[in-house]
Amino acid sequence: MSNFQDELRNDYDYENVVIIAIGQTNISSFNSNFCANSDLPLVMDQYPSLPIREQFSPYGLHKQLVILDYDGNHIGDTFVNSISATKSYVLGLLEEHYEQAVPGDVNSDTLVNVQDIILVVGMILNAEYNDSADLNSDGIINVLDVVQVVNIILN
Amino acid sequence: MKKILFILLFPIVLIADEFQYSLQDYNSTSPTYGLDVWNPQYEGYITMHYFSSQG
Repeated sequence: MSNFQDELRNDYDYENVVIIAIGQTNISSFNSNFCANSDLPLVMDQYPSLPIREQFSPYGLHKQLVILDYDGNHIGDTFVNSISATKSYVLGLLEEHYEQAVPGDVNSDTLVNVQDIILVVGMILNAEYNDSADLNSDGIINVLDVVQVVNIILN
Repeated sequence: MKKILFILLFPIVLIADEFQYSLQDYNSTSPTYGLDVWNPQYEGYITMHYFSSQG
């Protein structure tokens, strides 16, 4: 799945797409295996109540991939039995739903303005990271990214 | 008028938040390790959630 996300970002330019693995606190082998072979985010569903699975019900079954749009609305789901079938399905969904990001549009409102500057400054102060705020793609958010947002607005 | 707008929009807001969660990223090799995902770290992203219940 990690390779698939890299492929989506590098080969198809779907930068604002992320695959998040949802493990369970009572199954450490999945979590350790996953972490050893992946750079994807991993969150833990607390056993035995499994609140994330309950929240996603009727989705969230074993090997199920649930795809949500920018607002958290369900746009598709599939079982990851075949990587090629999953890729084909996800690419079809992204073609329909993906909106190309506007550089500097940190809050994803399709505009670049002072609100985006405020967000970037807030991330610097709170030591947060978000790809959309990392304008120069150097892996850190700092004053250089603020300058780039300002330049986008001025130009 | 405001009441009508509220009644019309409230269910939409509820639906949009149906699947939202904000939990710590436990993968030490992930760029967002230790931060809360998917909110706020992946706000503005199309998110795919992969469930596994086996080791």
